[in-house]
Amino acid sequence: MSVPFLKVLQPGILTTVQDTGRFGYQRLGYTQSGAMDDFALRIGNRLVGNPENEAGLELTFFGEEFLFLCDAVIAVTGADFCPEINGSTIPMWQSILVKKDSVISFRNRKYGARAYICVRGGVDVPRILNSKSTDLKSAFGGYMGRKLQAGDILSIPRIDLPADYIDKRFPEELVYTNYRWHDQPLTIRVTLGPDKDNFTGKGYKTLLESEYEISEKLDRQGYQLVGPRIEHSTKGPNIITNFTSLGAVQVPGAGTPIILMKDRQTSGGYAKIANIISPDISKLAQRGMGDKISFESVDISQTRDLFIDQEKTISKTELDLIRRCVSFKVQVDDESYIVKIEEVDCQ
Amino acid sequence: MEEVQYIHASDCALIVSFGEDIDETINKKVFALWKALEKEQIKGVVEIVPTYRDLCISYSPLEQTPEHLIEICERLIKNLDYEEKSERKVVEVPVVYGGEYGPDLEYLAELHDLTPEEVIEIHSAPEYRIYMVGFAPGFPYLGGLDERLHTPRREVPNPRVPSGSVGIGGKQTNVLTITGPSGWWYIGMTPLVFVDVEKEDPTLIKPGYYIKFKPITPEEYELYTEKGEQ
Repeated sequence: MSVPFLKVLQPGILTTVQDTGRFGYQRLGYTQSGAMDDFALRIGNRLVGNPENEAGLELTFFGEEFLFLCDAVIAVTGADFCPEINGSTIPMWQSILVKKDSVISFRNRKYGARAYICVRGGVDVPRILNSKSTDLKSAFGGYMGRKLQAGDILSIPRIDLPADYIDKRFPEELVYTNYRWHDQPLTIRVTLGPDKDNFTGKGYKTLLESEYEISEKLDRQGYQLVGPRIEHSTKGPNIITNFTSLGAVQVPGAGTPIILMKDRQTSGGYAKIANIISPDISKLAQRGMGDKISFESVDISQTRDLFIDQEKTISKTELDLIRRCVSFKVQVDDESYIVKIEEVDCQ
Repeated sequence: MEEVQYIHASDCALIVSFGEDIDETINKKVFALWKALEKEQIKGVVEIVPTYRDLCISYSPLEQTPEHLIEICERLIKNLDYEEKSERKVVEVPVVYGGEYGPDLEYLAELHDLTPEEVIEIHSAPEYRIYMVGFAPGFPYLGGLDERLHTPRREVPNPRVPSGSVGIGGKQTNVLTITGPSGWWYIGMTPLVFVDVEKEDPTLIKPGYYIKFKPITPEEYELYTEKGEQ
C-alpha cells in the first residue's frame, strides 16, 4: 500500500523522477536516463537509509514548491537552491524529519544546476525496463513518463521514520570538495579517443589548450560548447555509427564539441575526440549556460584508481550523526550562566 | 581474418572493432561475438551493445578490467562460428517519397546529379539488412545503401524531425522511430509504427532482419494511417 507524500505546487523548469539509470537496454535503443548528478542522488539515498539506486526527484534550477501530505524523512543534495521548509532555511546533505502539511520551497540559487530530494523508501513509481527513471524523449518511466506538473501527487511505499536515519550528515569538507567550486572555471578530465584518427594533432591541441563555454543548447541529452573550432583529419567528422558512451565529447562538422549526457541517443555518427571520466560527470552536471570549462587528458591506466576513489567517497564515507545541542540560561544567585547540553552516546 | 582492434571508449567501456566498413561479413562477426559474450555472463559487465562493425562492452571498473575483457574476447574469437543459419526475415515498409513527406529529396537528387524519381528507384530497390538498433528505441540502422546516394551528414543537426521519416546519412539509410534531432537528410515518410512500449515485445524489427521500402502515394499513406488507427 503506497502513501501519498508530496504534492507539486510549483514544478519549476524541469522536475523529474530519476534513479541511477536504465541499464541493459541500450542495444534496443533505450536511453540510459537517471540522475545527471549521480553523486548527489546516491548520497541523498544513503542519508535516508535507501539503497543508493532508489528514485528521488531531480530539480533543475530553483522555483519549485512542494507540499508534504504525510510525515517523511528526506535529504536535499546537489545544487544549493536555498531550500526552506515553511519559510525557514533547512540544511542540505542531511537527513531531516519533515512534518505533514509542511511546504518545502526552493527560492534562489547559490550554486549548481540540479538539486535532489531523496525520501526514505524512495518515490513509488513503476519500474519499467528495470528502472524508475523518467525517459522524457520516449515518454515512459518515472511519473507518467513526463516532467512533473502542478497538482501531481507522488507516493512513497509506506510511512517509515527510522530514528537511525534522521540527522545524518554527509561530511562538510566532502561537500566542499565536490560542490563549492561553482565560481571557478571547471577542468574536466578526459581519456582521449575513441576516434583518434578523425582528428589532427592540432585538433587535440585545440581541445586540451582552449577554454570552452557551455552554450544555451544544454539539456539532459547533452551540452553544446562554444569555443575554438577543432580540426578534423582527412577522415572527417563522420564515423560509422556506433555506441555512445556517457560523457563522450563528439565533434560534428562545425568543429565545436557536444558532450553527451544521461539522455543521449544510444548511438551516434559524429567522431568522438575524448570521453569525460566517470567521476567528473557529476561536476559537469552541476554546470550551466555560460560556465567555462577546459579539458585535461588522463591516461586510461590512471582512470581505474580515480573511479574507485570516487566510489569509495560515495559508498564508504561514514555519515556523521549530528548531536543535538540545547542551550539553557541558568541563574544562580545574581549570576547568569549559559549552559550547553549536548547529546552523547551512552554506551 | 582481419585484425580485431580493442579501443577504450571511456574509463568504463571497451570497443571491440572488426573493421571500418558497413559489411555483412563484419556485422555477422560482431553478432557472433556478442552472443558468445552474453553466454559467458562475465562479472562486472553492465551491458554489451553490438553495432555495425564493433561492439561496446560497458563494465564496472570496481569488478572488471579492460585487460581481462580483452583476454576473454581473444579466447572467444578463436572459436567463433560466423554463419547465421536461420531464414531471412523481410519487413516491407511503405514510404511516400518527396514533398512535405520528404523535404530533402529534391536537394539530394540535385546533389547527386539524379532526378528525384531515380533517387526513389535506387533507394527502394534493395533489401536492407538491419545491422543494429540504436539512437532511439527500435530504430533500425540499415546497410546496403547504393553508393550513388551516399551523402555526408548535415554540419548542424536539424533540431526536430518527425517520427516515420525515412532518411540518408553518410553511407546509411534509416527510418526515424521517434521525433527528435537528427543530422540526416529526409526523403520520405512511412505510416508504419515501429515501437510500442505497451507491448511485451516493444520493437517491430530486430537486428538481423531485412527491410524493403515500397513507394506509395500520399492517398495510400492516409489509408494506411486510418487502417492503423482502427
